[in-house]
Amino acid sequence: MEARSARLHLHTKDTEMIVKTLTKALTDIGVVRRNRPDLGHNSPVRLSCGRHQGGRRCRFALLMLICGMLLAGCAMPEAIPTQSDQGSQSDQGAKVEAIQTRVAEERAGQASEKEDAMAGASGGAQGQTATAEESGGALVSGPTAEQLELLAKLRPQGEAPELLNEVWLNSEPLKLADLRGNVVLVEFWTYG
Amino acid sequence: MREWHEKYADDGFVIIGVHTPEFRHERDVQNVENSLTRLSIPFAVAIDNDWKTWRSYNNRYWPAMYFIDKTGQIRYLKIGEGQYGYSESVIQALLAEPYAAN
Repeated sequence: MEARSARLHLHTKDTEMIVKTLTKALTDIGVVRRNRPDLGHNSPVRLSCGRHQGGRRCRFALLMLICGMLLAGCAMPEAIPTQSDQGSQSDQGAKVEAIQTRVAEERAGQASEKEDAMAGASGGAQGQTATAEESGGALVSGPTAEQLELLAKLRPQGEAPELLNEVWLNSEPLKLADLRGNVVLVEFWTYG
Repeated sequence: MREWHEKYADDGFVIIGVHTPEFRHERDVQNVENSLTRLSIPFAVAIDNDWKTWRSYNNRYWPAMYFIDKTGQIRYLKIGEGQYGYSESVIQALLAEPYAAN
């Protein structure tokens, strides 16, 4: 709103200035015709507008031209920002910046508060996890009831034959005998 | 398989792929190596070009998975694809099983 009113104000001021200038110019023309002996009788203004029969028409054309300029002048402030307009914009820019900074500061404050809250919450969660791990410690050392049931079904089907291969990829040659204590999955496969 | 390796390798789970070729071109170790790279297979693979391990297991299938417990006993044989959820629960149970080293 401030920018808008500033521009409107300018608008009026500029118009006034243009009107004044043009009025002066018009008066000058009149003065030239009547009271400007310094320009002399050979003055182009006097020649073109004074002596001819078409002098009135010429003056009318000049007036129209001035009116055109006036209209153009009225339209100009909208298109080209004047120095004071830029000033008001920069003022406003500064204000906006100040507001933005304040908002950012407030947000940062809130964020830090949130972070604190989060830290507190996650601290609590960590505490809970720790307790879960403690209570689950017993479960890690032994199978669950469900797993015991499954293990009971998985009856031993005999000792796994040793691996007899000499060429290996991704590893040094392995022997099952060296892997006791590990759970081993032997998969026969072919890439084809 | 790769997922299992990543999930359970630290818990004492070892995957060994035994590559037993069905066709002549599958005997080329370079081809197998390329396929490991292509499939991003991180675990150990034994080249069983002479079918020695295949015969000792008396295996007849591709793919066939032998789940071996901490004492070296075969506890579960899975033939063919699928039922990965159950297979994973077998791995978890076998890992949870107590083991006393002799």
